[in-house]
Amino acid sequence: MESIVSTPTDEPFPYKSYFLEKKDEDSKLFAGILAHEMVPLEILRAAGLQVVPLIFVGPEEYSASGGAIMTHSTCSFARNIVGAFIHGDIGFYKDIKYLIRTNYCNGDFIGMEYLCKEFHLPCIELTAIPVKTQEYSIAFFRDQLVQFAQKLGNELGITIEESEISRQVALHNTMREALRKLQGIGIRGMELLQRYQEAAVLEPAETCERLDQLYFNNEEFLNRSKNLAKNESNILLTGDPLFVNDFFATWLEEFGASISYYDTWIGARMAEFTVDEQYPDVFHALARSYLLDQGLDRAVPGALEKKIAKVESIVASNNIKGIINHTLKFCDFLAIGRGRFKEKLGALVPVLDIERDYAQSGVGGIKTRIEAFIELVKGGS
Amino acid sequence: MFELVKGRKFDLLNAKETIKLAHAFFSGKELVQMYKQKQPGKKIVSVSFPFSELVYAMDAIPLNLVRYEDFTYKGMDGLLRYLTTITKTLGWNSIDSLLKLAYFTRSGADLVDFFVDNMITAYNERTAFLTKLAEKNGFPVDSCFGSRLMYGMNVHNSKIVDASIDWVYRCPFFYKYYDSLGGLVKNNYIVDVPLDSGEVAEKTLEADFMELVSMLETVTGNKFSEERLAEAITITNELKALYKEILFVISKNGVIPYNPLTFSEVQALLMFSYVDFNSNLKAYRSNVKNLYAEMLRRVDQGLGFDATGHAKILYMPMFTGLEQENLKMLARFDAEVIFADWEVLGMLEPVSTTGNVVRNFIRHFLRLNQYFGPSSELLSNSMIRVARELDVDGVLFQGTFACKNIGPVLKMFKEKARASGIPVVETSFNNVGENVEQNKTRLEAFMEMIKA
Repeated sequence: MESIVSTPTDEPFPYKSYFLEKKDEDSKLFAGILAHEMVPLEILRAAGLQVVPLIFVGPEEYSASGGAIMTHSTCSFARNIVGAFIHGDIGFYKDIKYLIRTNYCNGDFIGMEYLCKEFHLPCIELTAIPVKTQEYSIAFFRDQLVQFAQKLGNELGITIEESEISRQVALHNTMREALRKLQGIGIRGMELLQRYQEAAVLEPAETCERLDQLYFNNEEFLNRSKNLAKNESNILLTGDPLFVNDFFATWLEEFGASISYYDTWIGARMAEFTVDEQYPDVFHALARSYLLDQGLDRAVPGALEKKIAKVESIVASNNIKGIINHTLKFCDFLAIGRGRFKEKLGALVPVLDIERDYAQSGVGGIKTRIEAFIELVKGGS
Repeated sequence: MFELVKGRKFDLLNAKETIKLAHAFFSGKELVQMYKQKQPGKKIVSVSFPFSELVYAMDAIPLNLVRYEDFTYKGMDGLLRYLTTITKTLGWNSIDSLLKLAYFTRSGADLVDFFVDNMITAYNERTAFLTKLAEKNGFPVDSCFGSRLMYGMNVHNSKIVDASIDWVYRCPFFYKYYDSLGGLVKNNYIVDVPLDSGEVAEKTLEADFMELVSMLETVTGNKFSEERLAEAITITNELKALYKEILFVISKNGVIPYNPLTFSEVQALLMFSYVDFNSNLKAYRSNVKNLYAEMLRRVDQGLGFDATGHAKILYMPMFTGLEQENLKMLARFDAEVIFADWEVLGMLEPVSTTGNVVRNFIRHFLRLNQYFGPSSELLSNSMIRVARELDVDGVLFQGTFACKNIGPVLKMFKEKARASGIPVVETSFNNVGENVEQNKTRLEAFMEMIKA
């Protein structure tokens, strides 16, 4: 595993070998999870499961196949993931023994139910995540997490100890702390994105180890980092995350938009909170943190205004010169309010609003828009 | 062709309750203004699902905002005002006599059919305007018809509303839609119904509900009373039972009380009007009670159309948008259409009024999770149950563009329907009047298959 964890930054992370090793050497059971922003992975890992985030996207055909089941006007990401299962090209998806289904969004809600049914996989449900963030919502979510842990335990024939969940909380907090440090070391673009994507997959200790090796304890990097592109224009990407294998991330880089801040749930948001380790009830601590500090685009009321305020603050504190608001077609949360977001943030810095799916057509148009945006950003800086 | 069982079409002109139902629904603006004139202090609360008991209990006016539109198609708004004037002066009993006099006009015995049909067209014309208005105001073009329609209603008329109550069930997109009303509507309250049952879910919903009550107390200046809630629930229980009678007695009868197109359009009106019970619970109860009696009398006396040997088609979901052309086509193909969305979603289940009424009411909301909750399996089971209980010959499943929640249930539903021997056709819907030809081809083939 060490060789995998220390894969150099200029090589793609070998996810396939990683999961193969997890399966063969650690004999872990794989649990697939689509939208894990609101699901404490601490609980899944405390159950000894290997988390397989379903964040590996593929070609347009995947979305088309997923659409045949879920209809073509549902979230293009969820369709793509469902399609990936149907096509069967992603080997480690075949090793998944359980699927976690939540009501995070329609894509998760509908897609996972179908996958469980079609592929005869046990579905472990956390389908009552509240959308409000009141005290009673937190209490309810706590109860849901307790039930979720019980369901997992029953399915696996084990008792998930609270002490193990607490240990996982500490590990995840350490990982979050490490991820937070990524923002200040000068890496950006694909390199920064890949670290977040890896952190979504790797176990927390592995992420910490990898980041230490690549950056924090790496003398060569530390020397080099002093000269890292400090003068480049800082661009923030917000909205839907860029998932693993999404060609759009490469396009952005190729077209000159090197992202310095990913305000997405596979991005800086993964690290924006710390679960209270001192709180006597670990389920309550998890419920509070995940409900209040995650799912920014999901929580009501006032999600959009809160997001605008948050991005305004990132713009100010990170010297951001331009924003790309990235929406995947038919996303539940980000389709509404794009106009208002652009209007409000556009008063501060140029905002490029992009709505797309996984189709490769239209590259010319996107290239032109990104180039024009970069010119605007550079002109302003 | 549907044939009259006996008598003449002239006999079907005893239809004052049908006219009254349409009048009350489409004269929303006039009636609400009248209520406000009588009691200027009364507050208006916008509602979008049939859960308006609390608004009545708070002595406020629930309003399905689409009713506040002017339905101007073919001068229907003028006709509605004329009806108001006549009924104010001569009472509703005069309507049947007037209808019979009007028999001698160009519309003749089809007058009621023309009226209902024009009203539904007027409704659709208005929904087309409202969805466009939503789009013009930045609401996503590729969102579902229902959300665009409701956003448009709010852009157009939310200024008259003092509060809005939004119930969140299984569709995450919908709570984002509700949240987007925050900038348009005063006191926009989203109720987060837990998608679970049990004591903790009850306590959570009760806390949320009481927060809503407290907001309504501030808005209306009235104190919440459980007795008033029980009173409202008693009436809505009656209304739910009547709706079930219409569904399971009238629709299944060998004689239907109107021609098939009018019958489907009257059912559509019933469905729409259950959202706010036309802003006047007692008047609405009386109307629906008498409407049911009017329908029953006709079918008992054979004063209606012979439905035996004609295909019965369950059209669902319809609350996501009504394509009138589909109704016309199905009528031409000699089919009787039934709408049963509220039954499929469990909304017609009664609520107990004994003991802790708030708790009972909350349990009702949680019980709806069996239908409208986290499981598509249960939702499709409910669709199958209703199709079976109604003994339909087929189901028209309306695939609504960008409906990310109920639309995708189609595949599961189709599999279950196949196993149950229920033929299913999917029509596509985005905006009223779109995809008509494509749907026609599908319906034609479907009806041929059913008839064969």
